Amino acid sequence: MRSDAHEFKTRARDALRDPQLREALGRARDGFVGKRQKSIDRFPDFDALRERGRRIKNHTLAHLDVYLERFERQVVAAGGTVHWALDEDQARQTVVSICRQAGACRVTKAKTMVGEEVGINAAIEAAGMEAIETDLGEYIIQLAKEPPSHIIAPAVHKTRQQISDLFRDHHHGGDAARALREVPELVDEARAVLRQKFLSADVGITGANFLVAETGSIVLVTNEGNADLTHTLPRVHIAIAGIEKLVPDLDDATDLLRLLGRSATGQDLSAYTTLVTGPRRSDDPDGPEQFHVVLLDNGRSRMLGNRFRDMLRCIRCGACMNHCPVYAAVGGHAYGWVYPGPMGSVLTPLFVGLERTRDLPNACTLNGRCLSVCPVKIPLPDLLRELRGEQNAQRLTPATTRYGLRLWGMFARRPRLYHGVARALVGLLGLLGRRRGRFRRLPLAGAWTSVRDLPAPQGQTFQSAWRAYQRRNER
Amino acid sequence: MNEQIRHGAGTTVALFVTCLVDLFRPSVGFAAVHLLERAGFRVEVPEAQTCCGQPAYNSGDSITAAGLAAQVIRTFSEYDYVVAPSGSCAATIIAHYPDLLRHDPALQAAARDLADRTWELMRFLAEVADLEARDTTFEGSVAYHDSCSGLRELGIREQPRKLLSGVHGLRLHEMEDRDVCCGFGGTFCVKYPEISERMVDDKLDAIRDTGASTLLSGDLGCLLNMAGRMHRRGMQVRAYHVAEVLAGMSDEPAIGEGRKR
Amino acid sequence: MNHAREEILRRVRRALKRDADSVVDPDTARDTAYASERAPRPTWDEKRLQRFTERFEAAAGTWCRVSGPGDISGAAVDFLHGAGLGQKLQLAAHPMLDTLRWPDQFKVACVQRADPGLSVGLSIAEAAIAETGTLVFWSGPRAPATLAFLSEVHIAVLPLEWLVDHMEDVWTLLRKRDGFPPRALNLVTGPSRTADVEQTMQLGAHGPRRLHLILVG
Ligand code: SF4
Repeated sequence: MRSDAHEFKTRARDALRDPQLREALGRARDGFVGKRQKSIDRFPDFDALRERGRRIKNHTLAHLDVYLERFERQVVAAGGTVHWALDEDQARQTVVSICRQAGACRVTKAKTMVGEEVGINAAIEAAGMEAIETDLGEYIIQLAKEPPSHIIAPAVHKTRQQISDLFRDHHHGGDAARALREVPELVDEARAVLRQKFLSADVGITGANFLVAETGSIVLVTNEGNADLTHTLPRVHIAIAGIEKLVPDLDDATDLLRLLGRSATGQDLSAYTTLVTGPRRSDDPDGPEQFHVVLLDNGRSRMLGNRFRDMLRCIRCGACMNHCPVYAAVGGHAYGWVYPGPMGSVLTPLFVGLERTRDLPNACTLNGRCLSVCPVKIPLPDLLRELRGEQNAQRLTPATTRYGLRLWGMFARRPRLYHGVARALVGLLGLLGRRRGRFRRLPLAGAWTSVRDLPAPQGQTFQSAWRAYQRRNER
Repeated sequence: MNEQIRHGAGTTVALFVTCLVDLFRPSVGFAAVHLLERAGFRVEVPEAQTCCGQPAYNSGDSITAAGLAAQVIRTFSEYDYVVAPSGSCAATIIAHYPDLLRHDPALQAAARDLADRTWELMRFLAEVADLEARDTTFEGSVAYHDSCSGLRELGIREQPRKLLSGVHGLRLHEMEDRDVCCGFGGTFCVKYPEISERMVDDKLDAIRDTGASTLLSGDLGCLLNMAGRMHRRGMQVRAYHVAEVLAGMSDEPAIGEGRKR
Repeated sequence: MNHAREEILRRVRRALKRDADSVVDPDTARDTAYASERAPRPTWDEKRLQRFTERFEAAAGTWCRVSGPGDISGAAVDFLHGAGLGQKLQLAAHPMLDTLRWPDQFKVACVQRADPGLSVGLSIAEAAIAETGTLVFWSGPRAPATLAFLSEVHIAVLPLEWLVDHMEDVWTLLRKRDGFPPRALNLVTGPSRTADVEQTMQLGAHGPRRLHLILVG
C-alpha cells in the first residue's frame, strides 16, 4: 500500500483539531486499557507468560527456515498449496491469479493486516472482481474509503454518527430520514447486507494469526465469526501471512493465544479461534475445494538479519498503540501507512524506507509504556532509538539538529568552559526572569514557549552555588 | 537520627547533579545534598561533570553520547555511590551506557561497573539510606507524577511515596492514569509541540481532578514541562521536585514562580 | 513462484548465518529454550465444571444440564419454548442425535449443510475447555461447520466426560484421533460479538446471536 507517512506532521495537526476523533480515541483508550488490566490481573503470572512468548518467538525466528519447510510439507500433506511471495507485487499477483483461475466475481475478506500491507483489495478490484471486507470495522472503513486506523479495531476513529451516515448513504441511498441510530440496529443491518455477500462469494481471503509448523494449520482469531464464514463458504480459501507468523506447534500457539486475547481485548480467548488445515475432506459437507497459503517476505528476511529482528516477534495485538499517549493524541491515520502506533513507527520505516518516514521514529517520548505491555517484550523504544541512529548516520536528521548536538557534545566535554558559560547565561536569564519567574517568550526557545511558559532559572548554576557554599563552610 | 547515621556511616556519595538541575534549579541539588547528609553520607560534587549525554543518545547520535558517557565514567570512577536527582539521567547511566558502549569492551565493563554503583535519589534514600522523613512538615495536598524512565526502567514507584508518607501534614492524592507520560520526552516537546501540548493537557486535567494544590515529581524535565504549561493555562497548582519537599525546602518559590520582594 | 521460495529461504538462511552444511536441530533447541519448562497457565480452585460454566457464562453463553443423551431433545425443546424461538430445528447428522424423539409439532431436519435461512441449529461439541469456557467443534459430516456459524441460535451438546482443563489437554486428546486435524477445528467461546461501533459490545455480529449448551451426564 502507498505510504503517506511523510505527512505525519500535517496529519497529526489536523487530527489534534478534530473533536470527533478526540471523542472516539478517548473512549477507545479507556476501554482497551481497562479491559486488558482486568484480564491480566486474573492471570497468575502474566510476566512469566510474556517471557515465554518472547522465547517461543525468538526460538522460532532462529530456526525459521526449518519451520517454514516443515509448515509447507504439512500444508501439502493436507491437500493445500503454499505460495511464496518476495514482495507486495508477487503477493498481489499470486492472489489475483488464484482468483482468476477460480473464475471469481466476488471475493470476501476477513481482516488481514498483511492484505492491507500489500494492497490486496485494489489489486482484486483492478482485475475486475469485487472485494468485500467482512469484519464490521473493516467494512465501515471500506465504505468510507479509508485505511484502518488501528490493527485490531480498524474503525476505532469513527463515531456512531459517522457510521450511521455511511450506512445511510450506502444502504439507503442517502435517505435523509435515517439519522443517528443505535448500535444494535447498525450491527444488524451490516449483518444482513454481508450475509448475502458471504453466501455468494467465490473466494474467501483471510490472514493468519499463527502458522503452525506441526500440523500445517493456520490459526484464525475473531470475535464476529466472519473469518469462519469467509473460509468455509466459498469454493476457494486463500490465507495470506508474513513468514514471521510461524510457531513450532499447537502448544506454542496456545501460549501465544493466551497472550493475544488478553493483550488485545482483555479476553481470555476471543469468541472464535479456529485451526484451519487444508481444503474440505472427501466426506466433509462444507468447506472450500482449494486451500492456498501465501507466505510473504517483503523485507522480513532482512529484519531477521539485522538489529530489528526483535520486531518480528510482533503478534499484532495492538496493545502498544492502546497504551501509547501519542497514538491517543493523533490517532492511527497520522502514521500514514498500514501499521500505526509504536509498532508502526518501527515497521513503517523498515518497510517503506527511512527517507519517507522521517517523523515516525522521532514522534515518541520514549516513555516505554508500550514495552511494558507488549506480550512478547519487544523493546520498541530501543528500536525507535536505533532508527534515529540510522537516520543520523544517513544524514536524514536535520543538519541543525545534527550539528547542534555535536556542538553541545564538544562543549559538554570541556567542563571548565561549560561551567563558565553556563554560569553567565543562567545568571542573565535568572535576572531577567526574577520577578515573574518564567518567560512567555524567549529567543531561540520558540518551540517550547509556543505551548508553555519557560520557568526561569533560579539565577546561579548548582556548580557555582555549591563551590561558594563550600568556601563559606571552610571559613 | 542515630539510626540514620549508622546507615551512611560517613561513606562518600558523589552527586550527579544533572544538567537541568545545574542550570534551572540548584535548590534541588541542595535538597539532595541535605537529604544525603541527613542520612549520614558525605557528599561530593565532582566538578568535571556536565551532561550524561541523553539528548544525543536519544537523538541517535551515539558518537557524541558515547563521548559524554566516557567522561561520566571517568569522573565518577572513584566513588562507591553515585546518586542523581533524576530518574531519566540515572536510567541513562544504569540501563543504557553498557549498550551504548558495546563496541569497546573495556569501556563497556567500566560502564557496567558504574551502573552497579549508580542510584536515582529516591530509590537510594529509601533502599540504601533507609531514610525516613519524620522531622519534615509540609501542610497541603500533593499529587505525585511518576516520571517514565524512573518508573519503568528503574522501578521507582513506591519509594517516593513511602518517603512522602513520613512528612507531617502532607496528604497524597493519586491521579488517574498515573503511569502515562506527561509529554516532555526531551527534544520531543520542542519537535512536536502540539502533540506534547495535548499530552501535557491530559496530564494536567488528571492533576486538577485530584484537587491537589501541589505537584511533585522526581524529574525536573517533566516538572518544567508541566509547570510551564500550568502557568500558561493559569492553573493554580505549584510544582516542586520531591526532594525539595522532603528536605523541607519548599519555602523556595515554586517552579516558574517569581521572587516576591 | 519457485524462484521466490528458493530466494526467501536463501535470505532467511543468510540472515541466520547458516552455511550449506550446518546441522540444525530445532526440537532440542526448543526444549532448552523453553519447552522443557511448564508454561504458566490460569489456575482455579473450584471444580472443573464450575470453572467451565463460570467462564462460559462470562462469555454470554447459557446452559442447562441433563442426565443422559435421551434428555437432549427435552432440554432443547424447553430452551426453545422459554426463549420463544419457534419449533424449527436443524440437527447435525450425529449418531447421538439419531434416536432422539421430538414433539410432533416440531419440524426437525437432519442436515449436512446448514440452510442459510435457518434460525436454530444443534450440534455436538467434541471437547470443551474449562480454562476459558470454550467448546470445540470438529468440522465434518457429523458436525457441519455451517451449523455453528450460519444459525441465529446455536444449541451445542457436550457430554461431560469430554470436558478438560486447559487448551493443551485438547491437543493431547485430539492428536491421537484419526484424521486430526480436521479441516476446521472451531474453538467457540460464547456467541458472535463485535465492539466495532464505539467500543460497545453487541452480540450476533455475523455468527449466532445466542449460544446455548446442553451438558450431558
Ligand atoms: S509490538 Fe507488541 S504490543 Fe505492539 S502489536 Fe506487536 S505484539 Fe502487540
